[in-house]
Order: sequence, then C-alpha cells, then structure tokens
Amino acid sequence: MWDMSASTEIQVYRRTFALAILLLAAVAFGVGKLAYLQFLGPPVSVPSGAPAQNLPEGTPTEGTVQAMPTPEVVLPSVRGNIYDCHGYLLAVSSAVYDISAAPRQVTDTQVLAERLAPLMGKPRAKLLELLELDAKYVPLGRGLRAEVKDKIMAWKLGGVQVELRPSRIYPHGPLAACILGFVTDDGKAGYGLESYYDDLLAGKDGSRETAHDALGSLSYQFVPPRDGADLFLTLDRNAQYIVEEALAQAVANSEAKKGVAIVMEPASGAILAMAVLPSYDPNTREVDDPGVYTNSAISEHYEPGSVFKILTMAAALDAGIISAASTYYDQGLIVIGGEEIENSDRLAHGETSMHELLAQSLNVGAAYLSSELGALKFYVYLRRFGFAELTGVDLAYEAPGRVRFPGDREWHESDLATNSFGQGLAATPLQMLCAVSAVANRGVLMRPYIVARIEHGGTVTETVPQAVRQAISPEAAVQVTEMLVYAVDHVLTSAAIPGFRVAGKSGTSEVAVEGRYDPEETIASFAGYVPADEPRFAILVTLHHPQKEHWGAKAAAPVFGEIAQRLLSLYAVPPDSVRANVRGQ
Amino acid sequence: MGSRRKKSGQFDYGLLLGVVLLVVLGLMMVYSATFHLHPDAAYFLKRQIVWALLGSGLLWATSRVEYRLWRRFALPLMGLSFASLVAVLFVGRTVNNAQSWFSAGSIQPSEFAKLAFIIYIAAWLASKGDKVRDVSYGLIPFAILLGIVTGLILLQPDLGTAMLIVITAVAMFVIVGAELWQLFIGLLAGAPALYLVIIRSDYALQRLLSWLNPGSDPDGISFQIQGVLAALQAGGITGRGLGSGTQKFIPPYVYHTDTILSVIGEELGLLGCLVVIGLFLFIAYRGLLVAFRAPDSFSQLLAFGITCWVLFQAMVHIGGNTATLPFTGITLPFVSYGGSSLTTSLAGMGVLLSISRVGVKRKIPSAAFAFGRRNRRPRLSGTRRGGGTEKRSKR
Repeated sequence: MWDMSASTEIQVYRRTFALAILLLAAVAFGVGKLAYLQFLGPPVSVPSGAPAQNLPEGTPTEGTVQAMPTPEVVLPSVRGNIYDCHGYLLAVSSAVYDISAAPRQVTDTQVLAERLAPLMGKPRAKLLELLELDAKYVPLGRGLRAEVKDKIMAWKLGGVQVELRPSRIYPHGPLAACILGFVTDDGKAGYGLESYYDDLLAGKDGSRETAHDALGSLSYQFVPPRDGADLFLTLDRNAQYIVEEALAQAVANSEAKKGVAIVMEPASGAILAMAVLPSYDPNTREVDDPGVYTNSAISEHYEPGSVFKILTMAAALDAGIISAASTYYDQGLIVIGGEEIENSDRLAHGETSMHELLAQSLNVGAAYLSSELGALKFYVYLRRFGFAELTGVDLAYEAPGRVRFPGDREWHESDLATNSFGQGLAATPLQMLCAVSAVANRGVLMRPYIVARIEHGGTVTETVPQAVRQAISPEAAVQVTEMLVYAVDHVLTSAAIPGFRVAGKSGTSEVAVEGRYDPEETIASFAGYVPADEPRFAILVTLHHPQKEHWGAKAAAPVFGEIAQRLLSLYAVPPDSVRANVRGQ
Repeated sequence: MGSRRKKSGQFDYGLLLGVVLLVVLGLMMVYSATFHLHPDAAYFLKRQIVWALLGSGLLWATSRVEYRLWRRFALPLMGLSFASLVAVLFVGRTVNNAQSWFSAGSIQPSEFAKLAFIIYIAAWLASKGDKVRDVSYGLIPFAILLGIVTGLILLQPDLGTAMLIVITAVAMFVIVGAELWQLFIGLLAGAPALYLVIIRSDYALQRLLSWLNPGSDPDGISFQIQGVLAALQAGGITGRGLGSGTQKFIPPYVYHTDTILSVIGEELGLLGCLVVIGLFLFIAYRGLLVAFRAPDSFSQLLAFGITCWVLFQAMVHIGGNTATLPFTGITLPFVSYGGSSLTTSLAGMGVLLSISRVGVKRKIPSAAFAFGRRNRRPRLSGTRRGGGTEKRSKR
C-alpha cells in the first residue's frame, strides 16, 4: 500500500521542511510588518468621505445605513472687521462662492456653457472646452457673489458644484491700503494690520467631531468657533482721504517716484492718517511690483536730511550748550573729523542766531552744535528721540533704522557732523515724525499706535497712549518750537496757514547712489506741527526723487500746508486768536 | 509495511481545537463588524452561526469518511466543481465586481473548487508516482490541468482564489518530487500568461497598481487599503477593545469578509493579530504532522495540500490587509464572514482529521535533516542514486 520509495520519502520530508522554513520566514515578515503598521510606523491618515458603492449582501438598501458623517467638521470662524475712528468699515469679512464642475457628471455641457458664459464674463467656447475635459473637477469661476450663485443653483443642472469661501472686502478700495494690508484668497494675511493682528482678527476655528460608541450611536463633540476681534482705529477715513489726495497731487506735480505722508496726534501718538504712494487696491491686489505692498512709512529707511536739525537744536538747547539767544560765527565751512562741511548755499553767513540757523537750514551751524555737544551726548539724544529702535507701532514689518554709534567699527568722527543735519543715518519716516512730535509734545516721546480699541466677543480693550520717555525738557521743546515758527514765518512761507502759528522745518536729503551723493536725486521732506502752542497734528511729508523740484522747501512744504489747513478745518480747530481769547477769559 | 508503521488512529483533537477557536473568534469579529449594518444587529452573526453549524456537520461527516473514498470520488468531485465554475459564468450574480456567486449570493463555487481541486491533484499526483519527474507525464499535464481550472476562476474574475490554487498545487507538486528546474522553466513560461491576465483585467491591474503606489486612487481600492492601515494603526498593541472599532462605520462597510484582519487589528490590536497568526501556525504544524503520519502518498499529499491551502489563504489575506501583497479580496479561513468559505474550510479540516485518524507512527529518517556538509550524499537531486539512502534508512 505504501507506494513511495524511501528516497522519495526523504525528499518529501526535506522539501516540506524547506517549505516550512520559507513559510516561517514569510510569517515572521508578516508579523514584523504588522508590528510596524500598528505601533512603530509613521501615522496613517484616516480617509474620510468614502464611496459607498459595494454594500455587503443582505444589507437593506434603505434605512439603517446612511452615509456616515465625516469624523470631524471644521466650523470656520469669521474674521473680525476693521473700522475707522468713526465706525466706518475699512475691512469687512464676507463670503464669496467658487464654482466648479465635474465634467463627467454634467449632462448638457452646451446648455451649461451657454448659460454660464454671460455670468462669468468668459467666452462660451472656453467654458465648453473646460466642460468637455475628461476630468473629475474643473474650476469655472472664483469669487462669485451670492446672487450669482443663487441663479446658477436655480438651474438645477447636474455636475455643478458651488463652494463657499470666506473673503475680505475693503469697501474703500485703495484707501489706507498701506495700513490695512490684505488677506489673500486662501486666507493668508499680508502686511499692515491684517498681518500684525492676524491671530486676533482670525479668531479660532471650531470643530464638530463625530464619534461612535460600541453600539454605533452617534455622539458629537462640539467646539464652537470663536470669531475674530473687531479693530477700531485711530485713523479717520476723512483725514486719510485728505492726506492721500494731497499726496497724490504732490507726487503727480513733482513727478516723484514715491510719496509718504503721516499725520499723528503729538499728545497721544495716535496716527490719524498714513499714506504711501504708489498704492494698490487690497481687494484685487494687482500690482506690477510686489514692493508696492511694503509700507514705506515704517518699513523703509531714508536719510532724513535737514529736518533732523530740529533734533540737533533740541539736544543742544536741552544740554545747555547754547541758549535760544546764542549766536555762532558762520564761516561757511567747518572741518570735523577731516570732513569739510559746507552750507547748501555755499555761503558764509557770519554772526548768526539760532533762529536763523534753523530758518536758513545751515549745515555748518548744525555741525557746530553737534561738535559742541560732543559725540557722547549727541548720540545719547539720538537714542532718546527713538532712533535705531522700533517705535513699537502696531503694524507689521517695522524697521528699526540704522545709526552708526561711536564704538561701532564703521563710525567715524565725521559722522558726528553729517548726522547733525540728517545725513549718514537712516530712519523710517514714522521714526522721524515721532521724534518731531516729541518736540511738539513738550519733549515727551509717545509710542505711535493705530488701533484705538479692540472688541472681542463683548470684551473691549482700549489702547492707552503710552509715553516712551522724556526726550528733552519742556523748556527746550518750547524754545525749539518758537524757532520752527520763526522758520515757517520767514522762510518756509508756503507751509504757513493764515490764523495759525505753524512750526515746521523742511529737508532735502541727498540720496546715496552707489556710495556717492547725486544732487539731482533727492528726498524732499517737510515735518511740522500745528497749532504751534497746542499742537493737534504733527505731519511729515516726504517725496522721493521728485523730478521737478528737488528742494523740500519747494516740493514738500506746500503739501504740508495744504494737508494741515484742510485738517484744521475738518476738525474745526479754532484759530490761535480765538483760542487765546477763550484762554484769556 | 515495516515495523515502524503501525496504526495510531489518533483523531487530532488539538487541530480541531485550533479550528474551533478561530471559528469562535470569527463569530465575535463578524458580529462586531456588522452589528450596525442591519436593523437586526445579529443578522450577519446568525447567518454565520448557521454556516458554522453546517460546516461543523460537514467536518464531522468528512472526518468519518474513509479517506480512500476521496481518491475514488476525486474525478466526479472535480467534474462537479468544474461544471459549477462554468455555470457560474453564465448564471452567476455579480457582487463586488466579480461574477462568482450563485443564487442569493450564498454559494461561491470557487471556494468548493479549491477543495475539490486539491483532492483531485492529490489523487492525480499519487497515481503518477515517480513518473512526475518526466516532463510529459508530470509537468505538462499538470500545467494544462492547472491552467484550465485557474483560467475558469480568472474569468469570474477572482484573481486571489486563482493564485491560491496555483501556489497550493505547485507546493504539492514540489513535495511529491517535481524536478525543480522543470518547475522553474514552467514558471518562466507561465509568467507572460500571468502578465497578460493582469494587464487585460482592469480590476486586477488597478489593484496591482494601487499596491505599488499606495494612495494613487483615493476613490477606489487604495482608499480601502488606506482605511485598513489606519485602522490597524488605531488598534496599536492592545487594540481599541472588542466592539469599539470605528473603521466599520466608514463606507464601504465590507470589513467582515476580506478585511476582517483589520477589524481584529483595530479592536484587539497587535496581540489579537498574533493570536490569529499563532493559531494558523499551530493548525499548519498539526496539519504537517498529519501529513507525515499519513498512511500513503495520496493521503499524505491530500493532508499537505489542505494544510497549505489554509495557511496560504491566511497568509495572502494578512498580506493583503497589511499592504504587503496586492489586495486580492480573499477571506481569512474560519474567521471571515461567508458561508461558502467557512463551510468549505471546515469540510477541508474534516478531511484532514479523517487522515489523522488513520495516521501511522513513523520515525522520520535522520537523513531528512542532513543538510550539513557531512551528510552530503542524500541530496535533493540525489534521489535517483537510491543505494546510499536505502542503507541509511535501515529497511
């Protein structure tokens, strides 16, 4: 009965064992793979929204088995709005609709393309081409309004999908774009307040998690979304409009490449308006050069030029090197650190008062003051005025400026002279305005701010004006103010405003191009405040590379004058005489 | 018949215990995976219990049958399953993309074909004896036979079952003494055919591609695999606990058949999977022992074939569920939901047990393990030089 030879029998054994060993190796591999999958390996994402094509036999087609809800649903929070100081909307969250199609499910591509074409503003042929593609998904249009979406849905055509997407609307278009920043279509905040306050504005998404217990009954874990905070700005849209209009006019007239204008309340540091040109519309964000998004008022440096002499004078007065009545002898040339400093008019002015020094904007005089102060004290005052540090304004991407200090490797003694009239150091326009505002504000440097109030779900946080430090004594500040009023009254008359005493100083900084200063390429600027005795507005205007007028006194001073005059009437500030009489009673 | 062979007549209760444990575990897992699918929570469980009882009856019956009967009925059985395989192509119902079901989806002829084919192959190979080494007696008829049966199953298409039948049959062929070089050439010749089958079948190609590039087709089969892997990971070492898996609530809801391992892995963790693997290894071990003690070459081949079938099927199932092999939609024997699968595997175990009853005590010749350098003489290829080994086996 046994029909195998012994040799065959042995072969059976041996082959069985060989096979068994192979199998054991395979099983060991399987166990290893299982261990890897179950607790050693990388996380596997749980698929959701599965196709329910093959139900097991015996499953009732109707009734118990429904498409299970996906395990977690994100409930998006609504981004907070931004209002100006009067409550006008500057940025508001809304919803738009993206329309797409599943070409394989579209029953009548001709009709669909025909009807969509006028609504999308796209040629019918192009839509038809998209709809004829052998794809699961083709986007047809983005950012449709609710009315359009309702219209499309009313057709009840198969294969069309509409998706809601949060969007951001800036009702005033390009107004205050440099301050607001923007939110892109995919919800990313860029620049300005949108970026700086992104966490607050965005709020926190909620979620609904679906869980099953062992018997398959549903339970929900619900985390409600927390909507973003609303921001109320110190910015006044009317003031902003005035500033933008005046600046645009000036940029056009002088054919400048760029313009910046900032209006600040000296007593508080509140920013009433901030304009940067060229600008863009945050709704569309269409620009030729993405550099336009940069807020030059806070993110870009410039050499402040003669406007800086205000601070040199303030420092000299505060330190007691000179008094308001002092004079100095102007030889038209002064040598400091081996560098020859000349006046811009290349003239010697002889015995000159401090008032004339500022009014005539004499470089030799400024260099004389700083050399009298000495490097040690001069740079201490520079720091006190907030140079080479962030102002702390609540806008994204602020730059600290660049100043070479004694002790730095690059510092040279001649810097003491050039810095005194605002060359050889770099500051942001906002830094410059803050320093000038400190003089206007009796020597107190304030932190600039733009958000006055944050309202978050019933909680209101008011911003309290914050003094940074007493940069100079109130007495010195008043004396500088008097000199600046003298300058406007006698020299910079285009900045003067009838009925008001205006304090101001122009500046024409030469721009270093490849290490050399080109007299044709300048930054014309003017900084001042009004009314001089009780300043309501500190204003800085800078025009970069004006082609028609290179001088701050000619190009920027009239812009200051126009802005100041219109703001005074906008805020109905009584003229000096009226206020003096009211005080006198 | 020498003195080393005497009837032991031991019914292998250990083997039976392993099978029973797997069936019981299967009932638990099937209930856990299906209670939410039907208003009657136990709907699927009840049906599985009915089949388990039916299968146990079959097991009892086949274990009582004299194993020689299988040899006698090998050809009729084969003919019957052959006819049913043809018939299912014409009258079958399409479930899950495959036309492999008879009425009400309760009978799947390819499951029975597996057992019938193993019996037939065992009878056929045993009748050939040493002649299987001859190409014209062994390999060619074997290949034709195998080709027709797997071809029929592939037409359904049921790639998994077809492959399983091929590897089981080839393993039996190797054991009985096929020349390995012949087999190798045969496989080389068969590879283009396999390639054609896969390329021509969208279904198979899709599965192969999704195995090669996981995540490539998130709507289809790759989606299911991704879900299975996520479930295994969720289970970790000790699992979420029996009944508290969540994968089953995600469509396509068919976890109680060809991905039951993922349900075990999610709810009982790695430990549960290891228990399942351990039970299959135990069954394989006992099955091989039965084969070693089998009284003749037919019963030996039959026992070996059945053992291989169960073990291979479990391995392919586990491999598919762990993305180690392409996903073939094959059931886990004894555990997965499915009447045909359960009853056929239980009947197969019955046949194995019937052979265990007539087992003889036999000493395994020490030469069988002589793989080392010192005992080189009785090599695999040296079987024709019978003299040396005959002396060693103390006949």
